[in-house]
Amino acid sequence: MTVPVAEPTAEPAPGAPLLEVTDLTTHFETPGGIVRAVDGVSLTLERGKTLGIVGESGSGKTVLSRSIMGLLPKRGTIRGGSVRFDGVELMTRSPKEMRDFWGARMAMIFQDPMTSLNPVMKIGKQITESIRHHLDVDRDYATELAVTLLRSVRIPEPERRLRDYPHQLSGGMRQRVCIAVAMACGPALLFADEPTTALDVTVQAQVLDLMAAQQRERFMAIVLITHDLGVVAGRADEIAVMYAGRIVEKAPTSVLFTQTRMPYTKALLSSIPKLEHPSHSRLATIPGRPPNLVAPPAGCKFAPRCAQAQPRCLEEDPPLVPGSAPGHEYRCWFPVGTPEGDDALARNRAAGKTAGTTAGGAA
Amino acid sequence: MAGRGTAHLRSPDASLLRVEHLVVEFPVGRTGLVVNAVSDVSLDILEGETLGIVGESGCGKSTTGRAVMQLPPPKSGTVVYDGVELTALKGEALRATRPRLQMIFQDPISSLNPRRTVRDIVREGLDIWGIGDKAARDAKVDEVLEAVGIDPANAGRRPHEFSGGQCQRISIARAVVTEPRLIICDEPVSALDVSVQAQILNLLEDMKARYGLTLVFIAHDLAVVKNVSDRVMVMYLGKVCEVAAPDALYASPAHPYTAALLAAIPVPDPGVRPDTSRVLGGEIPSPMAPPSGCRFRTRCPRAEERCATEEPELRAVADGQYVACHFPLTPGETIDFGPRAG
Ligand SMILES: Nc1ncnc2c1ncn2[C@@H]1O[C@H](COP(=O)(O)OP(=O)(O)OP(=O)(O)O)[C@@H](O)[C@H]1O
Ligand SMILES: Nc1ncnc2c1ncn2[C@@H]1O[C@H](COP(=O)(O)OP(=O)(O)OP(=O)(O)O)[C@@H](O)[C@H]1O
Ligand code: SF4
Ligand code: SF4
Ligand SMILES: [Mg+2]
Ligand SMILES: [Mg+2]
Repeated sequence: MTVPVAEPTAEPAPGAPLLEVTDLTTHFETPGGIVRAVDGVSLTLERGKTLGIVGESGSGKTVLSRSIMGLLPKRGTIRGGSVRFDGVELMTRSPKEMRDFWGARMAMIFQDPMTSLNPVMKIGKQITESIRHHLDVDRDYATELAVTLLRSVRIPEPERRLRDYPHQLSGGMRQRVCIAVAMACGPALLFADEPTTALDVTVQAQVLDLMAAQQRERFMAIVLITHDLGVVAGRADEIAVMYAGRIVEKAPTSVLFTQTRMPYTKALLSSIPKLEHPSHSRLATIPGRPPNLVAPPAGCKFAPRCAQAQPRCLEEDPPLVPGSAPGHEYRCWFPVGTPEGDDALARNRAAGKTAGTTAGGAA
Repeated sequence: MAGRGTAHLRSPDASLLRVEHLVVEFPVGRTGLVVNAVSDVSLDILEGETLGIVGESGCGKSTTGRAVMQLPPPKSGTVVYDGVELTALKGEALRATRPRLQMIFQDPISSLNPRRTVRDIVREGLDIWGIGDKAARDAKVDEVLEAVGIDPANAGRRPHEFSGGQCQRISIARAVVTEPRLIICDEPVSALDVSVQAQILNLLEDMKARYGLTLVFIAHDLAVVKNVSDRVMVMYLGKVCEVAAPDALYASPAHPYTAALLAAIPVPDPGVRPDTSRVLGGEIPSPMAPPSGCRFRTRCPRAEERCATEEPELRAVADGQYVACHFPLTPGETIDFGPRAG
């Protein structure tokens, strides 16, 4: 038995990317003011490719993916920009119209598998319901398909497991069931929001391998959201680094690591403890905290924490500019690894302070 | 049952903490079954040392740490802290050890009382144990808050007004305020962003130097454990697999499970593609019915008949490196865990 693969709904323009997001904004009205959770994000993703999205907690990763999928509450949410999926504009669609896309064309798996599985429904029923909702098949066929899916995500004794409730499975098995549910209708695009953050390293490796195998089999595109640069380094074709609701650097994976331009990306990379370093190595840290998204700083949002910040950074918001490698973009007036950046850093070191700290920004 | 034994222990006179043959079981409802959370674990820590404990969820790391604190007391085994057998202590005598033996937990926000001010939270230990007069206590609280990077001027606020990283700083201040010699840190950075994690790890190293602390550092992130530890103990399903200095352990793991853990770590280097052949397959067996002999045998590609019948004992394989395995890896040897998903 083969697992279905999604048919395109509209004839895609030749060479058009599967997903094309342009200047997407997503703001929330709150009593404290408007939270600019996603603030002008553009990205494209081709079929069969993986885009990694990294950034600190609160940088807007989850809101971005939910906004693309149209999975946000209507009340109090203000969205702008364009999301084209397979050539179809999604921004103007109602939640009811979006329902045909969810599951069938684009699917999502979350950090905590318990939140996406219904705790009081047997897992077999959860998978077959999803299948029967989107594919016009009878119950026996759906059950057979569910067994195939569970086997494909390496759940031992799948027939028996269909009768289990989610709490009867280990965390890793539950996440594999979520993948099976997400794969049920052969989506073209999978959002994986911290799919392995709650899992142990060996289970994480199993789950990520499994996603990669499913991706190869179905030529599926994946948006892999994580705060672990290690996870995306080995798995993503391209990485976008988010800070304060924006993409601050985006590049093919190896370029991001070897030609890092944005000081925030560099700081993130150097704050990770590395296995190859001897024990008790002093770790680099990023001072302070991400900005308040209700009233972010006027210039570069990273300026209060940036080791290279100069007066200009406090006044002018750096735009995304292309790097030397194809597909590389970053926001910074004084990029890392350039004479301007090196000078800025040397000036700040000599002065013992940065323009951001003198402005009273850093905590 | 992966491994028991005491070959890795050093002279009792030199160690600040010495735990032998620790067993902790939890009954499962009225079924008569028990969770074998910790099964014959021995460890020791020298003054000023940091012992890292790693292993996957459910292997018994927290239970080990809590049993040292007698929270709850173990079913059997001995826990000698600073020359005193803690398992023999009851009531007041046990309580009196608390200021000298502290614990820090994973979730910084929920482990702090939301209704109390930060000053009260940090000062609580001093109040309970009647350490110093009021002025001395206030001065001590200011000192430790300063040391962990929290402005004492903000100490009148409550925990929810602080970020996760700041709450973990407050937890550390609370733990060091009574001047303990040993602090058990249970996943102190697991819930934090990498940038904040780096700050807290550096802070722990500073606190260790400043207050002459000895630490038990529990975590599932091997890179983090390597960074802070002088000695690392790898656990699996309530048992000790391997004990060694971090640099040796990471360079040449001897236990197949240690090798599997290391191979599974995602490396933040795009030049290193994940090697699926070295990733462990299968599921952790139930701690209610652990495998006979070596507990790792159901997932170990090297398992032989002997592994099912005879529990491996910890033994030295190199200077300072101890392993509980009948067929340990030799330096440089890798292990293939067979074909994997896809
Ligand atoms: N419904 C909402 N109303 C108001 N603010 C919101 C809402 N949802 C999210 N936010 C805010 O938007 C910002 C971005 O949140 P988001 O959950 O996308 O971050 P994230 O990058 O996914 O973080 P994490 O790594 O912690 O998951 C945060 O400041 C968050 O508090
Ligand atoms: N109070 C309890 N009652 C029953 N079982 C328990 C209790 N505490 C722990 N256990 C069980 O004991 C075993 C060891 O748990 P423990 O919390 O020590 O593991 P751990 O290594 O700290 O895991 P984690 O990385 O998830 O924190 C697990 O099987 C757990 O389910
Ligand atoms: S150098 Fe200036 S523009 Fe660049 S990241 Fe730092 S503060 Fe922003
Ligand atoms: S070789 Fe035997 S003793 Fe060693 S880890 Fe494998 S099963 Fe256990
Ligand atoms: Mg999120
Ligand atoms: Mg624990």
